[in-house]
Amino acid sequence: MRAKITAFIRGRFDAWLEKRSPPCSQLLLNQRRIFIIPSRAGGGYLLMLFGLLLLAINYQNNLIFAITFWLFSLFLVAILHTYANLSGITLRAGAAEPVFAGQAAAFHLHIEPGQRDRHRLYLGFADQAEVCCSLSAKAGGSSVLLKFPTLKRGAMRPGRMTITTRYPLGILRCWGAPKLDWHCLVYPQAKCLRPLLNSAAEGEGRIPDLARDSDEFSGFQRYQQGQSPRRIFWKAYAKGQELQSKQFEQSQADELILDWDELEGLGVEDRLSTLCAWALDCNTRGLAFGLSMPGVNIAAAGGGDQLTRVLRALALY
Amino acid sequence: MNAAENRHAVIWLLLAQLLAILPLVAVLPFWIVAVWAGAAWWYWRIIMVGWSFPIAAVKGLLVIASMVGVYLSFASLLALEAMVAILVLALILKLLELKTERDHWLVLMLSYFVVACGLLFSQQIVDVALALLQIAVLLLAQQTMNRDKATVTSMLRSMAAMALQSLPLMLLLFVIFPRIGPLWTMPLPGGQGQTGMSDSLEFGDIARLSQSGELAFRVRFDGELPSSESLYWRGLVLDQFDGRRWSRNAWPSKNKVTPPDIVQPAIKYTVTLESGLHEWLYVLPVGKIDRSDVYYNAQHQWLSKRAISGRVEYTAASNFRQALKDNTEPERQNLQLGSRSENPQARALALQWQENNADPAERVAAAIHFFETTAFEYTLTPMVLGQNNVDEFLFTTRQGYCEHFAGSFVYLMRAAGVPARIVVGYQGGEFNKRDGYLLVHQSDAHAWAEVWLDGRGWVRVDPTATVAPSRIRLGADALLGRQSGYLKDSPMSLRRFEWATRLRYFVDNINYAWARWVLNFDGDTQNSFLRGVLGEINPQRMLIAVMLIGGLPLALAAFFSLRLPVRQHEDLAARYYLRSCRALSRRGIVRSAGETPEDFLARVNSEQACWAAWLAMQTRLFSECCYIPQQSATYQQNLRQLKRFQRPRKWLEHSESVKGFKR
Repeated sequence: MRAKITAFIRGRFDAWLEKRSPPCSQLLLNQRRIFIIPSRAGGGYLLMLFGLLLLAINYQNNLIFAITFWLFSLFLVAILHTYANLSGITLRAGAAEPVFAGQAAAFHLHIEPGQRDRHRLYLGFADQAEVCCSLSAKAGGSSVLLKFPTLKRGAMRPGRMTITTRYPLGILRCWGAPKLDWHCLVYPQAKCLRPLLNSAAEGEGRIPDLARDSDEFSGFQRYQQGQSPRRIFWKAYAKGQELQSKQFEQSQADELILDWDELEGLGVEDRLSTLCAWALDCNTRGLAFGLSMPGVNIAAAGGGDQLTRVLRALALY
Repeated sequence: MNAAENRHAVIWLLLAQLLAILPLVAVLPFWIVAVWAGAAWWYWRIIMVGWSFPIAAVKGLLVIASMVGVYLSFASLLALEAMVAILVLALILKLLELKTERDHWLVLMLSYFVVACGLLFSQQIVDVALALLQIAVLLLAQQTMNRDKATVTSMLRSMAAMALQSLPLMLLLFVIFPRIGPLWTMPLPGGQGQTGMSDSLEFGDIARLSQSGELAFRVRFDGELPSSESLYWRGLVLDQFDGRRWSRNAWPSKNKVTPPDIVQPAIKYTVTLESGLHEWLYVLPVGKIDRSDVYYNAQHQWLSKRAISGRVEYTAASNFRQALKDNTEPERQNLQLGSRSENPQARALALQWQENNADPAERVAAAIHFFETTAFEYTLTPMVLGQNNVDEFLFTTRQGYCEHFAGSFVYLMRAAGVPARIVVGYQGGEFNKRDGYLLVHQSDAHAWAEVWLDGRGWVRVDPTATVAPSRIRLGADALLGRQSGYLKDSPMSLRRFEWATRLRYFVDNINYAWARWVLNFDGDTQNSFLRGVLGEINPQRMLIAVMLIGGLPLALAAFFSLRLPVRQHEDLAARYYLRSCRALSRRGIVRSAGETPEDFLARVNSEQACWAAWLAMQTRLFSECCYIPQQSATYQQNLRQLKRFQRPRKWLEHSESVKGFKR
């Protein structure tokens, strides 16, 4: 019953928040976005104050009255100080590297402390592990990594993040729940359910291997980023020349097309997972590969860019 | 945060806890500190070396052992001291299961409570300073849990800021919070180690009390100070006698009577009793106390309905000339003499007086004559007396303090058939000339006699006055100052030194103000204070006071701690230029959105040429400012000029004053 009530309240609060603060890429924490209530310790503190008040009344002891009122005034003043620890902070959504489903996505968050030192800010996504950080106004902004678990492939948006503080006395919990405009591409989980076959006409399950040097060497070219480091001509580099990569004439027969249709009998997600595993495999072997899926055709090529292109297509299928 | 992992927080917690407990050692048994040391050491080993927390059986054993310890120390578990001891022990033993952050908090909150409990026992200024220190350390301990760089200075700074900001609100709450009576009865402090008048008397008791230099009460007279001889602060009547010990009526409330009406001219005064447990109040006879929680009884005593703890302040009116006869006839107990076989000599003497004088008043005169003519010595260190103590005192040792004289006198009177009783209280006092009030110390404690004379009522007879008249005229101080026992218990008492008297008066003034305005700030004081400040107490005025005193400081605090980040790199040149444009718009030329300064200048030139020269200058200054580095001297100079002439009228005045400059 209690869980139900909590869930209900939380649902209403989230809906209200959704209306109040839509996602944006950067925001300044101010009175419209900061909430503050006594923490559980604060509840204990108030209870203790009530006990002191009873003690003061029953013993007609003015000094205990004074202490009670002072501690209560401190509680009220602490509201300002706790709030001040959050107010004026600028949050900016950073990039997030693509991850494979099942891994935790790491989102960069840039925090600008503004003109005050910030003490013990707890940052994290709702219901996720929190990161604690302190900032000084002099040192300026800082960047933290927030983790969010991924389950499904595709373009993923994390939920609301929370930024919480209990500074200075721990009796108040002040938090903001901004929704930053983060997104992260989640690749399918790599699961090799079928062996990788060459789709070329030879029909044999022959995987062309660089080690066999079957391809014909055709000359050197200036190395470009994204080309496999295996092809770098290190000898020339050692002589002080610029990076060059060896070029091989590849026969058409060696060109790999990772084909959706070869995976008959598997479900959509399993097919995507397998294709993903194949693409990774090809990349580690330094092979050129392409992708053929319903609606998607990527010509064969090699290098990191090609892998990214293929994985992206798989993620967004 | 796992409390056990945060060593810094743990050190502060232990420090705060020790500080909260330490001042209570005056009230609690000393072994509690040893228990703390043991528990703290054990906890420290748990944190540092990885010892394990004690198992349940050990914890149970510790709890039982400490309960037994408390019981043995106080012979009760329900006395206030015992309850505080239990609270402190719970606070200490909690260390042995301090595992989570929640436990950490519990210890902190209990420590606050213990600090407040310390103020139940003593409320001097020193105690408040101590409590403030304790709370400051507790607040620091609380802060260490919520900061990374928990240096003492940074924590102190933020704590000091918060403390100062909360001060006005605290004062306001203190002044306006309604002072209601106790909600239920609580055990009262036992007043251990406190000196004061007790409700029974034996030879030697008051002499012992005189060795204390402690203050009993202060009195402020409305009019002139009465002479020292008349200052008999009447406290308790002791009319029960068991042959050795004088004690008071067991059921004082049985014979409650209506208080006397004081005949004018009356002396009015305010008495502030020092903190303690007060079951009776002192007045100058015949006096009337203006207070609702006390009653008057047939022995003309003012007794509290329920013992009042702490300091008590009351106003009273007295008339010395009024007789104590308004209510009752003497009872049989006023002739009671204990066992018949004791003190045969005294009885024989009394019987002789009874036979010789038919009139009781003459018997009293005979007794006074006896005291006057016999060589008695008034001393603080009389010899210890045996079974027939009255006989020994009257006929052998002849050395005694006031209770010896009063006690023997009452004994003689009763034996002679005159109803008599002992009254205890204080006599005299020391006048603080600086501030005009009377200080009555424990060393002014006194005992005297009252005899019943038909038609005159109860008449005060002070045999001490006949033996040592200067005791009454000059006070105990003057007479006994050179005696070895006087103030023996307070060897460092400043009363011994003439030169320190002024300093002592000064300190006492502060203490008096403290007692009067802080400790005794009760409902009545509150009412009159608020009436004095607000004129009259009504909701509107209260609201205004709350807003002014409570709201304003909070608003200021909010303003200073919350002000939003100002635009740091604001372009001042643009601001001044825009002001110039606004000044023009009031004169009918409005710069439209998207119009460049140059275009605007051209338009002004064609529409209202009179402002063109001025605007041309402003525009030039502004555009120059836009393109030169802000640190350069030219920039600063341009900016100053731009600001100076941001309104055209300024420029007009200036240009007219400069000779040869024509518009």
